[in-house]
Order: sequence, then C-alpha cells, then structure tokens
Amino acid sequence: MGQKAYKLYDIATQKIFTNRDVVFLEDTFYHPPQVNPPAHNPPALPIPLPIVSDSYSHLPPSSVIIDPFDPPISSSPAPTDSVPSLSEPPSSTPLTPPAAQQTPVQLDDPVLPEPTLVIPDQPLHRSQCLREANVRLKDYVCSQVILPPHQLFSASSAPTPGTKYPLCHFISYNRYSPSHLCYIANVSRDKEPPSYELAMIDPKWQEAMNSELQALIDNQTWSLVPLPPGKRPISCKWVYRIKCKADGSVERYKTRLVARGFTQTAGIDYHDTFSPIAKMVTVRCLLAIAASLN
Amino acid sequence: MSPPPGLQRQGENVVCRLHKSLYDLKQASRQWFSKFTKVVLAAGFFQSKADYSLFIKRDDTSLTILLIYVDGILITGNKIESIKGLKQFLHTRFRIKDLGDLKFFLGIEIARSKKGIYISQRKYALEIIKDSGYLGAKPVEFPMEECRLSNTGELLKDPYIYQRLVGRLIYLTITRPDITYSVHILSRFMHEPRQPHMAAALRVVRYLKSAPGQGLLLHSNNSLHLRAFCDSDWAGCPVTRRSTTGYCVFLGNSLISWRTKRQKTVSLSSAEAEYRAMTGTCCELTWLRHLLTDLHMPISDPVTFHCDNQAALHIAKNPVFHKRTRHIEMDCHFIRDKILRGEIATQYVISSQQLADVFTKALGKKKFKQLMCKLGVIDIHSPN
Repeated sequence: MGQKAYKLYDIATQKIFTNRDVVFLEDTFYHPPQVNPPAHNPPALPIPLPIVSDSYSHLPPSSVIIDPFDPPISSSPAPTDSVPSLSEPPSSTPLTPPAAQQTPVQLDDPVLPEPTLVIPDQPLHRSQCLREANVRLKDYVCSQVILPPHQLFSASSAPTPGTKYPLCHFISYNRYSPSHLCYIANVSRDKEPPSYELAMIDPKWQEAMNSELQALIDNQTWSLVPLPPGKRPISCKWVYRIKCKADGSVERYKTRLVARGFTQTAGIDYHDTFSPIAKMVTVRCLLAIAASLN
Repeated sequence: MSPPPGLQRQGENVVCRLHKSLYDLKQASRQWFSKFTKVVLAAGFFQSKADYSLFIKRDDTSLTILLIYVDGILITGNKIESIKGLKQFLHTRFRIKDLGDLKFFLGIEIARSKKGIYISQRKYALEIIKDSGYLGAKPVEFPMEECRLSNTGELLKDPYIYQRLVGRLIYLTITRPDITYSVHILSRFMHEPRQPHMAAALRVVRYLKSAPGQGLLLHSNNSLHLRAFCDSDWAGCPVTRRSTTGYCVFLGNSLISWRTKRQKTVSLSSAEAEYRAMTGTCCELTWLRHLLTDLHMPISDPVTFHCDNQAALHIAKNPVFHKRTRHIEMDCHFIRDKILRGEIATQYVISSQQLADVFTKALGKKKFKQLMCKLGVIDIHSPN
C-alpha cells in the first residue's frame, strides 16, 4: 500500500485512478442485484476499490484459475488480448492477494494510468452502463476454466461483479475428455463479428470480404449506375460465419453479402416470388414406385 | 441496391444495379428455380405438369426422374449409369454435394430393406416431445379421445406456443397418417387456442411418445394399381356444423396419399356429405393419374373406389335425380362422368373394413391399432 487514497474506476472512460476525495453514495445502486452481494462476491462497481499495490496490475485479471492438468486450453492461446490470462503461467494466480483476486475490474491496459484529478462532487455517471462486452468476456473465459473439484464451490474464480449466482458455480467442464475440451476451446475461441465495423478491424475478415466481393464482381452480379431519381436502393449487409472442421479447428472464414429482402417493396422491387416445391404426395409416390421397381 | 460496405467511394452517389440474384432477395428462390429448370430442360428433361418440381427423362431403355425441393434434389431411375451421368452434369453446372444413397430428405428418415422402403420422422418427433417437455410422460395408445373440441374454455395466455406445436405436428403428418385426424382437429383452433385444445395437443405428443419412430412402409413387389377409400362424418364440427372429408389412396399396398379436410359447405344429409367426400377424393385421383402418367406408369384400369355409404354410391352410379340432391348436381355429374369414362369404379365396403374411418373420427385403441396395421403404418424401431 503505497498511497493513502482510494482507487477509483471511472465507468465512463473505463480508467482507473486514485483520489482521496471521495463521496460514498450508499443509497443509490448501480443495478438492483448488487444490493446484497453474496459473501464471496466482490463489491459492486461504484464502491471504490482498496488499493493493493501497483504491481498487481501485471497479474492476470483474476478471472481464471487454470488447472495444470488441462492441456487443451493452455495449448490454444487466445488470439486477442481480451483473454490474456489463458497463456499466463498457472501458478501465478493463486499467489495473488485475495483483494486483488476479487478485483472486478478487468484491466485491458497493463500499465496503471496516472492519477488524475476529478472534481470531487461530480456524481458518478450512473446512467452510462458498464460495457457489456467486458462482462461477457469474463464469463466466457471462466466458463472454460476447469477448477479442481475442491475449488468448485469456493470458487472466487470468475464471478462477474454483481452476478449473484455465477454460471461457473453450476456447470463445469471437468468431465469432458481432453479432445472434446480442445474442440470446445477451438469452437468458442473465435467470435463471428456482428457488424461490418467490427469485422473491418480484423484482417482475416477483411481478406474474406475482399475475396467475396471480387467473386461477386467477377460474376458480374451488378454494375454501378447512378441512382435513378425517386428510387430507393435496397440495403444489404455482410454476414460472417466461421466454418469449422470436425475437430473444431477453423476451416475458413466465410463472408457472404446478403440483400435485405425486407426492404424491398412488392410491385416495385419485385413482382413474382413464387417458386414451386414438391408435394409430399409426389415424394411418397416416387418412393413407392422406386420401392416396387427396386 | 446500395453498394455494400467496403465498396463505397466517397462523393459518388452510385448504386448497384443487380443483374443476378443475391441471397435473401425476395425473388431469389424464384430465380434459382427458373435457372435450375432451364438447365435441366436443356439436358433433355421433361417437366411434369402434375408437379412442376418433377423432371423426367426417358431414353430408349432408361428412365431418370429428378425431384427438386428448394435446394434438395432427389434422383432416381432404373439405370445407374444415367443417374451418375446426371449427377456429373449437375455438378458441372451447380457444384452439388452428393449425399449418396437416400437416407435423410427434408427431415424424413428413409430406410431400405427387401420388404420395401420405410419412411419415418423419428428425429423430428423426438424433438417435438423434447421441446414440449414430455420426455418423461406416460405414453398413451391412441392420439385423441372421442370428445368434441369446441370453442369453449379458458383462452390461452400465449397462443404462440400452441400454434408452434400444432405447426410442427402438421409437418409430422408427412409420414404419420395416424395423427392426421387429430392434428386436423387441433389446427381448427389455431387462431384462438384455449385450454382444452392445448390439453388435446399435448395428448397427441404423449401418443407420439409411445412410438416416435412410427412410419410408413412402402412395399416392394407391388402391383401398380390405385385403390381409394373415402369416408366422411356428418356435421362433425360443432362450431360450424360442416362435415369432414377423409380419404386415403393406395398404390398397390403402399399408402401414398391421405387427407382430412373440413368441407366447405354444410351438408343436409350424410349421403350428401359422403358424396362431397367422393368428389374430393376424385379430384385427388385425377391428379394422381396425371402424375403417374408423367412418371411413365400409366394406370389403364379404373381406380377401385371404396365407399361405405350405399346412398352415395347409388347416386354416383345411376342418373337419378332427387329433390334432395338437386343442389349438389355439379358433384353428381363430375363423378358420373369419371365412372362413364372408366377412370374410377365404385365399390361398397362395409364400415368395419373402411380404412378411411381413421381420417374422419377419433377411434378407440382397438379399432385404431387394427386400422393402422392395415394402412401399413409400422414401427421398425419398436423393440418387439
């Protein structure tokens, strides 16, 4: 404990800083489930965290305890920095002081930011929610963790702050065979980006989109023309899928450009959509004939 | 179409004019079908008028038949070489995936043996049971009690669950004539489901549990002769007092077509109701004859038409004119014409031998099992 101050977490900017001038708003809560957190749960977010030491920020963010007998997960390091703890040596985590283990804040930035001054009376921005992705990611890592059986229920492993009954208390993956664990780890390692903006960040998806676009252009699917006056274009979007092999390893990153058919108007954008489908009687009839004629 | 993200250039107000179909366009399925049709017709196939998704190619010796269901294609024929050739040809044009022998098509499981082809929807039935939470329920022997479901009772809070369940059951009737009648009754209340309806629907699910793998056996060593059974109840629907048509059509010993349908108008006598049922069955038979002709299996002899109502048979055979039937004159002429042209031959069948009975009323356990056996409904998955 180097400083006599409170360590604060600004939800809006997701920064951690220290300040001595703190007002405790004990009668307002971030969201209702945090009113009575269970004993092992860390305090809710708006409550300032005790400072442990500057060096703890180099430790993994406390969410994972890796069983040394778990080969598959440690053999598949996470591709992004969002799950850094997977590749950490497993022994480091239990050494963490308990306070640090319960730190609910996931540190994306290993370097502690400089203490900044805030206006003391400024109320915390309660209307701005904590970013969901962060919380979800923590759950996601924890769900893959295999705890030794005795730790299963005393697990301080990865309860998301504010979760009263974390999922990791109810399911565990320790009965699966190593090959299946490998499969699970592989399958849930990559996520399919929900939007173009997120996919653009990743070069894999970029490349996949470029090749799909090139294929569409090569097929002469469209030609670029100026928009005729008074017309509305149909919108379109990219859909991303990861195609996996049987063992869960990635076969390819597939993108597909789909038109949003619901933006079309009947009579203007299209006229007939009827496409015949076989009657079931025909199917049965065909099979009956095939059976009788062998 | 507006240019996709990634293609946009700044300052240009251009759009993409589509020359080809793109995924999820409203007309994409139509485009695909027309393209497929063009290719297949160019390969010398003939498109059946009875079912437009059926394509037939006849050479001197070989007969190849192709059936398309959106993106699933079923190929059969009597020469293995021509089937292989067709696959090769389709592969050059569309890049198809050959799944080998037919085992699974549209959720229908298909098994073969020397006795014939067995079709069932075991997996689908199990999913329905599981999703209703009835995996542990006690099975029942027959799908519906003899009760008149009417529009009384407490309204369901969430009709969506009922609608979804019945919708799935409807798809299950593809291979299960045993639940056709019950599902038909249930689907009458789709718009306003009530508590008793849901209970009846869940009873069907419990019946499914007694034999989820139940299916239909299409026999080999079969004569290609059509037989039809038709029946109707009289004023069976308590809400509208309309009657219900039920019929089933056999090709040789294999059941190929069946239906339960509420008639469009109210009938004043049971003979009239039966007569309308005969008309409905006749329409189906006419279509089946066309289909079989297209499949190069023409039916030359008249279709045996079993009915258990003497009065209706009498009206069909003889050019009598009753005061009581003057309003169904059109139906009378329709069937008489068919008989005169030698397309159908009516035959009386006593009520206990009437196979279409199961499509018009809820039967008890004994009668139900007996009729199911005769329809060719068996369960190859059952332990005994």
